[in-house]
This record gives sequence, C-alpha cells and structure tokens, in this order.
Amino acid sequence: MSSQPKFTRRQALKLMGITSVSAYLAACAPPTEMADSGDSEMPAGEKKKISISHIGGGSVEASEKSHRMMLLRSSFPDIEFENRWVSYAAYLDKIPVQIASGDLADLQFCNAFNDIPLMMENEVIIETGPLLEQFGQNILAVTPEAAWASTVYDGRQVAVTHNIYDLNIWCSQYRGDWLEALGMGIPETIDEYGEVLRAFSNSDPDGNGEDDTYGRLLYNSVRFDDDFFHAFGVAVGHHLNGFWRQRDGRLELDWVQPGMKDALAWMSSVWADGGFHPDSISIPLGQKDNAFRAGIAGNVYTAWSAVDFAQNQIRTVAPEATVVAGPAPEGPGGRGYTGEGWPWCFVIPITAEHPEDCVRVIDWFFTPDIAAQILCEGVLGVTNKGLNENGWCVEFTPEEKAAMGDEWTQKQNEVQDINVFWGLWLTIGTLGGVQPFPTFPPDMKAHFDGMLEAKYSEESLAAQVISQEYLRLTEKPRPVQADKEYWPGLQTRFGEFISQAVAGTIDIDQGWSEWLDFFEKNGGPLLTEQVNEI
Amino acid sequence: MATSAVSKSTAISGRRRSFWAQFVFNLWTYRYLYLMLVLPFVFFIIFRFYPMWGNIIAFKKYQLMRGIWGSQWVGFQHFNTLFDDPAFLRVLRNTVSIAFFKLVFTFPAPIILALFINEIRHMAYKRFVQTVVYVPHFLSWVIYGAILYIVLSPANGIVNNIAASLGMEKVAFFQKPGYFQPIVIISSLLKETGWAAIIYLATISTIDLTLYEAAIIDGANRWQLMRYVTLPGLAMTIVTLFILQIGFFLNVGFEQIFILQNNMVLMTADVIETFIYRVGIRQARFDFTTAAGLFNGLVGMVLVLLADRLAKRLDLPGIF
Repeated sequence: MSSQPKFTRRQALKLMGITSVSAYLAACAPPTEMADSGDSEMPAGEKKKISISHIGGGSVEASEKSHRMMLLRSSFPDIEFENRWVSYAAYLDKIPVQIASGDLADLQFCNAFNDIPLMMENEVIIETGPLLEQFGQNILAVTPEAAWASTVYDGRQVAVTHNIYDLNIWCSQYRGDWLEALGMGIPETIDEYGEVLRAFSNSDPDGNGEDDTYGRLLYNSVRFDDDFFHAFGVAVGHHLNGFWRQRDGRLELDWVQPGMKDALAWMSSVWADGGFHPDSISIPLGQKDNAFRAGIAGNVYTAWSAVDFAQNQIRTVAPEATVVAGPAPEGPGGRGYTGEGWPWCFVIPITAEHPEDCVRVIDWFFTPDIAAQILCEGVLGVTNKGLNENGWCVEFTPEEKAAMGDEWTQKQNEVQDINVFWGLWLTIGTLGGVQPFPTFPPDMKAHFDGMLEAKYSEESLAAQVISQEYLRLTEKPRPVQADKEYWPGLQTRFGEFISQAVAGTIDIDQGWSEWLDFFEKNGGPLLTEQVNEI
Repeated sequence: MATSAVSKSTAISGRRRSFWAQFVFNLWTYRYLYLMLVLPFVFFIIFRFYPMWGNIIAFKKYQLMRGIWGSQWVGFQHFNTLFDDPAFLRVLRNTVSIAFFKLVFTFPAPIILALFINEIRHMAYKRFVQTVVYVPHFLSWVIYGAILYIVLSPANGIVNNIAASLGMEKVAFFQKPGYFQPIVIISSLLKETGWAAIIYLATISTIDLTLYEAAIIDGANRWQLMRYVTLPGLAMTIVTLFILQIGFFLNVGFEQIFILQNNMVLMTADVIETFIYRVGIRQARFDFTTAAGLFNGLVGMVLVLLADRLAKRLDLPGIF
C-alpha cells in the first residue's frame, strides 16, 4: 500500500480546478457544426428558428432519425428547426396547458374542433388566410374545399387544416367465413344486422363446440358505433363529438331526437340477447378492434384500410378466416357511416417570429416532388424500397412482405420506434390514408395509383368504396361559444346515459326523460341557438 | 458535540440571550443539520409555496393574454358555479364516500397486518409473508387495473368462472355502479396494506424489549403483550399518520379511480380529482377547477386542524 504514490489534497484541488475550467470552457464553446447539415455556408447565428409540434415517431429521437425530418432539415438550410415532438396520448393533456401558458410551437399541431376555440378565446393565434394565398399554393391546390370549414372564425381563416388527410374512412366489417358457416349473408337492414350479431354470439360460428364468440365489442361509452345509430336517423358522432342535421330548416343535435331512444332500445335488445361482448363499454379505450382481430368477435366498425391487416391477424388463430365489408344497415331512419371530417390542423401563434416561413414549410410538404418522397408507408430503404430512379418512393407489396417472412419482421423491429406515422406527422399521412395528389404529374400519379392498387386487396378497396358511399358528416361546421361551458357536461352526461341504456342497467324511458331534462337545463337550447347562428 | 456546546454556552453566559441571538447561535451550532435542510426547503418554496400564489385565479376569469394579475376579478363566481353544478355535488358525495371507507378500512389494515407479522416467529416464513404483501405496491395502477379487469371480466374472468361453476350468475362488476366503490376499497387494501405496514413494523422494532420481558414475568400472554405493550408503543405513530392521512382525506387516489372508472359507473366513480382533470386539464377551465382544488385543500386543512385538536383532547400527541 505504501508503495503506491500518494494522492495529495493539493493534487485533488488541482484536478478539480482543471475539471471545472474545462467544463466551463466546454460550456462556453460554440456548438459543433454537423458535417452533413447542409448549412455550412450559413454563418452561425443567422438561421431563422422555427419550432414544430407534431406527434410522429415513437420519441423525439426516433422522429429525428426519420426520413421526413432529415429531408425537412436539409431542404431548409436557412431555418433551424426545433423538433417539439409529443406523443398522441400526451398531446391530449398537454395542448390545453400549452394554450393556457402560451407555450405554443411556431407550427402548432392541434385539433380544429377542440383546441381552436380556446386559442381564439385567448387570442393566441394569427390569421393564416393571407399567408396561405401568398405562400401556400401547393396546399390550396390539393385541399378539398370542405376541409377549410372548421378553421374559419369570424370570417377569418386561422389555421392550416390537415388538408387531404381525412377521417371519412369507416365501415362495418364482418367475418366472411362465419357468415358462410351460419348460412347468412352480409346484412342489409338493421334487423338482419341484429340477427347476425346474435348468431355470431349464440350459434357457434367457429364450430368449435364452445360458447366463446361474440357479435361485436362495443367501444368505450358506445362512442364509436354509429353504424347502428344512422339506421335510426341519428348518430352519436365519433368520440362523442356530436352530430347535427337539418330538421325543419334548423340544425338540431341528434342526441335529443326520438330516433336516438329507438336506437338505444334496439342496441339494448341485442345486448340482452348476448350479441355484444360483455366486456364492451367498461373495458379501457383502444380495445375496440382487438376482439375482432383476435378472432373472438365477428363484426367491427373500423377503417376500410384495416381489412387486410385484420384478416392477417385473425388467420393466426383461424387460417381460413376472411374479412368482408358491408353496407351501412338500413333502418327506419336511413343508413350511414359517420365521417370525422378534417379534424387536424396547424396553427401559428402570435409569438411566431417567421409566420410566412411557417406556411412555406407546410406548403413544401405538398410540393409534388417532396410528397413523392414521403408519401409511402415505412421507413425509407428499410420497410419500404426507397426511392426509384425518378426520386419517388416505392412500397413493398403485401406479397413481397409475405415472401420476406422473418426478414420482414426483423426490418419492422429495426425501425419500430420511427414507424409511428413515420417520424414527422405533419400535413401528410401515408398512401391509403391519403390518395395521390391531383397536382401530381400524370406519370407520378400513375406510379402511386398503381402502388395503391397493389397495396390493398380487392376486399379492402371494395370497403373503401363502401365507406365513401355511406359517408355522413355532421352539418355543424365548427364549435360555438357555448361549447366551452356546456358541451363537456353534456358529453359526460350523454355518454353515461347511452352506456347504461345499451347495457340495460337503467330504464330507458326514465333515462331518456332525465337526459332531455338535463339537456334543457344545461345549455342545450343556447348551444342549438348558437349553432344555428353560424 | 453540539449538545455539549449548547450546555457550555448556557453555563458560561449565565444570562438570557435575545431571540435573534439565540436563533443565530443555534443556526451556527447546528449548521450542518440546517445545511441538510436547505434542499427540501428550496423544494417546498418552489413547488409547494410559490404555486399557491396561482390560487388567486380561483377568484378571477383567467385569460392567458392578460395573465394572472391582469385577468378580471369575479369574486366567488367559480365557487357558486361549482356548488350549483349537479355534477360537482355528485362528485363531492362520491369523494367523501370513498374517502370515508378508505379511511375506515385501509387505515387500520396495515396496523393489524404489522401486529400479525410481528407475531410470526419463523423468520424465513415472516420474510416470505412480508415480501408477498409488499409486491403489489410495486405494480403501477395501470398494471393492477388491467389485472383487475381480467380477473373480474364477465366474459372469462376467474371470479366469474368460479361463480359460474358454483351455479351462480356471472356479474359484470365494472358495469354496476354499486360495485365500484367496494372494488376501489378492496383493491387499495390488497395493493397497499403490505407497504403501509412497513412503518409500523419499523416502530415495533424500536419498542424496548424489557417491556415485553417485564410483561411476560407478570404473566402476560401473547395477546396481552400485543394489547398492552405493542399497541401503546405504536400509538404515537398511529396518531401522527392518522392526522397526516386526514389532511389528504379528499385525495382519494386519482390514478386508481381514473383507471378503474368508466361511463357505466360514473355515478359512483366520479371524484374531485377526476373532475378536476376532466374539466380543468382536458377542457382548460383552469380558473374553475382551481376553485375546486382550493376547496379540496381547505377541507383537508380544516380536517387536519380538527384531528390534531381531537388528538390533544384525548391526551394523544398531535402534530403541531
């Protein structure tokens, strides 16, 4: 021990001093320039700064690794982007706090129906209409007219909608093999629908001799089962967002129409006969499709693009399974599937220093050459084929994915942290969720049309047609003043009532009277009045 | 060393110090102890006391662009709205009900468990029991809630399967409002009792063994040892923890309730904390729900003061 050199207090102090000075110098040093950042010509400190809030990627690190983000950074060497990624789950809690604290990104992702009223009330966002006219020609060229309605306040355009990415994609899907085994066809009417659900639950459609199948697993709070309701001329509106229609020249909320009570009574009768999975309503959110995909339930109301995925999932437990989409069941009130419209958008807060550049950045995504690079599903060169000789991305076909077997799984695992919306979910979704742009040159459009055709099975594409054919949209274009104070209370009370009514834990007649009374006394008439003033 | 310094200083001076002189003297004498207090003190200043200032938005119509001070005063308007809101009255009723039953069942449970564990003489078995009862505490409510959903599922949950095999009707526990609060209480008991017993077991280990020996010589049996030695030894800890828990009376556990509740059972499951989350955070009505939170805090403070006074009246140690 004595042979080892002694480490004296003086040496220790010296070492601490050197460490502190080094740390100080390191902290003061300018940041190292990235070799491939493409901005080597720009002197440090002259870049414009733009922060982007978005929900793509499994983490901010994953988002940074995505092709979309890297392409964005390299295409705007004069701009320093601050990536303010947030998970979708966290976004819901974070956005109200962001609004209340004013901590909004320069390009702030938000929900037009839920968040813009609050932003307008607090006067935290700017008008975007003139900027779009000047810098957003690509966006304007591809966005359907109807998509803008939710972002107009007092005659002013205050947000850039999530453009072509719509949520008008829902339809009812069935286990085709179960229908065949039971000798039943795809239901056309609401009564046939009820019989199918009962038979799926009670007639052993999988033929295993056990009572282990169900018609359908309802969504939490029955907030996503509008295919039943439309048959009675009403709808809940996905996520309890409400559904308004013209009645006698006035917009009225479906929730207080007599058809609503009839729809609930019908659903309650199916529930009583065991047509719905008994865990329906009370299980946590997000389980809606799982019972179908696990081969337990025979019917689901979901996106048309999920047909192939669901079929593949079910085939892991039932190799002969088939999934088919059906028309909206017809009833005394008509038929339909709810569309969610264009709920997502970007706003620019008053604190943004470069609003014109913010619009320029969004518009850039819609430039055909750029869109052609990022429109494909998958991570460039890993879970898709990368860019072809024209610089357009190419997806693997389902057959190619199947042929890869374990290699495909390996590729997916490799980029699983990026693959949530492919790293930067801004204005553009992915092929299928969006269609090839009308502004694409003919050869580019043909490329993506062909890929879209190869991407989905015939059943899926038939489902897409069905979802469009029976599409119904609420006629209330945007929130009104009274929404903030009264709508949440009405949502909670109505969600409670319909859940209990369907499951038969309350008397529907009594519950209906109480609900109407609640609506009358808790802002319902004022809300209706204001909606009609829009 | 510090004690001797104080004695010495008092002995030498022989005269009374002024308050501030004594304060500074103590500060210097116990400087290392006070130094250790700095971080917690800063923590409380930043995260507990400073935010209290924001409570004034309970009396304002809070608008971001005007800031807290610039927003318009509205007096007790939010409180009036709160108590006129039928949803809040239901929320208050549920909160008090759950809080009361949690206090009645979950407060004594760890004391009883600690007393029983203390009586186990086989050390290996004692450690095994302790480990088993501690483990649920380390599961998050998300996991624990999922387990409850699976166990109580009317489709294929083990509880319903057993009931069905005995010829009983299956019950959809999470769809009947009447079952919600019992599920909350029982799940709390199962999850947290073991962990909460640790503090009592630690206190028991500090009880002077000679007291047990003396009691045994006097002919006390094990029950009497528990009744007349162990329990009195725990009294101070029990009272202190009781008063502290009373302070959080209306905080019934957001995470647990939020995870277990659904619209079918909202009439018995909606509590102040979930109400504040739903209305305050999700709907951004910060002023309104600050009023609800302030009410919650005030009730807690009054209850603590009452419990402290009650404890002193009963000749038990209080916390002030």
